[in-house]
Amino acid sequence: MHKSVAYKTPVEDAAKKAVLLMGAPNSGKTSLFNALTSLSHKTVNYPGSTIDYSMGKVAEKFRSQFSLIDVPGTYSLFPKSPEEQVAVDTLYGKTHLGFAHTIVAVLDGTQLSRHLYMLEQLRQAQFNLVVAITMADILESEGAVVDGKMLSETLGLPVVLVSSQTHQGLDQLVSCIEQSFGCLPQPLLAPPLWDDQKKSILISENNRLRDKVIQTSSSMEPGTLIHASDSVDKWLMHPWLGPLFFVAIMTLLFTSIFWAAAPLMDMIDEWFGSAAQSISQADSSLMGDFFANGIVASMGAVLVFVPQILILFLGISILEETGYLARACSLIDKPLSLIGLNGRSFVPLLSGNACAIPAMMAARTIPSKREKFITLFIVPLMSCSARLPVYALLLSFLFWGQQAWKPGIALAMIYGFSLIIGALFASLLDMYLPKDQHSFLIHELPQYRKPMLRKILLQSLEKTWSYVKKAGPIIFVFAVILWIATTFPNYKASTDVEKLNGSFAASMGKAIEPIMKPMGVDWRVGTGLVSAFAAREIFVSAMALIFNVTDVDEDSLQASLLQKMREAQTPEGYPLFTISSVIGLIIFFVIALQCMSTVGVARKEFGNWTVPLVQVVLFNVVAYGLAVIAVQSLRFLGFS
Amino acid sequence: MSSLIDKPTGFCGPIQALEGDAVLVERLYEIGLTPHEWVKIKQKMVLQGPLIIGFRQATFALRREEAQCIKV
Repeated sequence: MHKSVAYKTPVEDAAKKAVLLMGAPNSGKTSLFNALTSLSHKTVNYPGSTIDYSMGKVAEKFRSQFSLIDVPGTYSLFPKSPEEQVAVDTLYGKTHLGFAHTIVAVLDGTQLSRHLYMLEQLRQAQFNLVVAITMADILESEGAVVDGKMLSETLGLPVVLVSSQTHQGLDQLVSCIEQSFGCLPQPLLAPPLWDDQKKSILISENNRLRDKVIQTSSSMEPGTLIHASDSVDKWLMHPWLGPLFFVAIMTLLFTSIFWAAAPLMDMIDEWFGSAAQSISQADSSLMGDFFANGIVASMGAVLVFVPQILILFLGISILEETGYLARACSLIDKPLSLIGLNGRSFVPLLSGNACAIPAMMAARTIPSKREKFITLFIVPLMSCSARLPVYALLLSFLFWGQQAWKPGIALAMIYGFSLIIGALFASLLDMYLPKDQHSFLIHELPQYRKPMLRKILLQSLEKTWSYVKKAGPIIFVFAVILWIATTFPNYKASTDVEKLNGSFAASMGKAIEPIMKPMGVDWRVGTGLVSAFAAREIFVSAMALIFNVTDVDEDSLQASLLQKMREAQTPEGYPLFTISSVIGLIIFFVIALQCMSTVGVARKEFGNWTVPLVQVVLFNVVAYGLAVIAVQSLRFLGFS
Repeated sequence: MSSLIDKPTGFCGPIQALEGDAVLVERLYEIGLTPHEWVKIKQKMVLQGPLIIGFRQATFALRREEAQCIKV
């Protein structure tokens, strides 16, 4: 027996009415949401890009008043992954948003026949429905004729053909939504638990509906299987060449972070370098030192790496937008399944190279709880953009004066190393976690789409700017704290070395020096490592402050810092930064979990504190242990 | 009646039935893979990797055990 669910008392005020967009993944819900609300939620050519619900008011230009809710895509009312559960919970008013008055069933016009399954479920559950057939512009360009009137008569529902690109049909859709407010919905039925017999009836009903609809369109005849993407897939999804293309594309992405960003980085670097030097020369007082070293040099040391972060975001966006990302998930499914993961884990893991926070949320698309757990556990091991300034500095030190492709390859190797470490942890969890019966791929590959470069560039700039906004204040505050700690109380000392050695930072740093020594570094680097727990990038600004980079007669900040690092010596007179100690530091940063924001999101996604705390302790202990082993082994083998 | 997995790349034919794990079968129905639907094997990835299949206007990647449920 179905349980009926009564609506809350309908609200008379139209402005308080909510309209929910429901549809299959990649059916164009978020594009429609953006077109109707004039908002700019991220849309990409990848099924499952929406992982939570979002709400907005219909744009003023439509002269109407209601709220729109966008939810993750789902193929049916039987959710099979956490993000599908969000969609169904919102549909049934189980969130704080309550019930939506009207449901807009969003059906992809180019995939219409397949999207009727859920529409039939929505209809049988007696939702107040309006049907929006998206991609009207694509249908038109392909010469397909869709008779909206006949569709409407066949379905017994208001049907509107819309295009979120050209805004065709949007006024009509808003008008249909307004009309739907006039009719009071029936008491709802809960998601039905159909037995085989009922399911057969539903499927035959679905087929009957589908066949009626198909007759209205020339492009949707059964057996029509060829589309333009096939010719590209012949190469990119070739059984043997496909994996090779995959490796080549990923290598290109991660090496381009160095060579493609270099011209912009040089510009920023020179600007900050000359600004710091000008301030330092104009005012040699304590205040001048504060602005030159404490603010400009330490902020510049981090901001110089922003172009690299932009290139990374651009690369990931291009992969998403073209439709290749979904294919990459399929290509890597088999190797990932061997370590307890799913092809769908690839997106969180790749996004983790930008930032672990959205990456962890992206893991909601993974149907299996076990695979989701393992993915969430290893996401913090991916080399997020906050690590990039640290790697870039340390690699620039190791490859000083050499061609840009060399640190580029080394950076690709660091990303490879983080994958290997992640794979090892995943394998261990795979061995010990109880098995989960419901693991599946069944992954839709969208048609290839020419990337809209302007949109990609704007989205990437927006993400980079939000990175700067998020990290900037923390870096600023710590730059001030570190400047105070490295300047006082001995600020009247005659030399910088004397000033630093008598500073608060030195007193604190020397307390942790015994722990740092096995890693081949002293208290100065130790202070940077401890500061990096506020934000990893602070390690770079800490180095800039501790080594007082504006004092060297160099054109740029980075050159000054690298020069100071080359000259830095231990109290015993040995070089502080050597091949072994720098490799040790890289290993530490690859594994250590220093980002407290990530820990907070992990708590939300795991649903408890235990696992995130295990991650913090485990990753930091392993990071330290492996760094010590690497440094001592390299020294044993004769490397400095 | 054999499984889709046993057919070579380029095979194109109607689905006879869906059999196997209930959750997998239900998801296959939901994406539109129903009996009598024509399905084509576009690629079979090496080393027991997924199958790339096409039907109607859609392309999907299926694991071998998922393709095993599709009887043709």
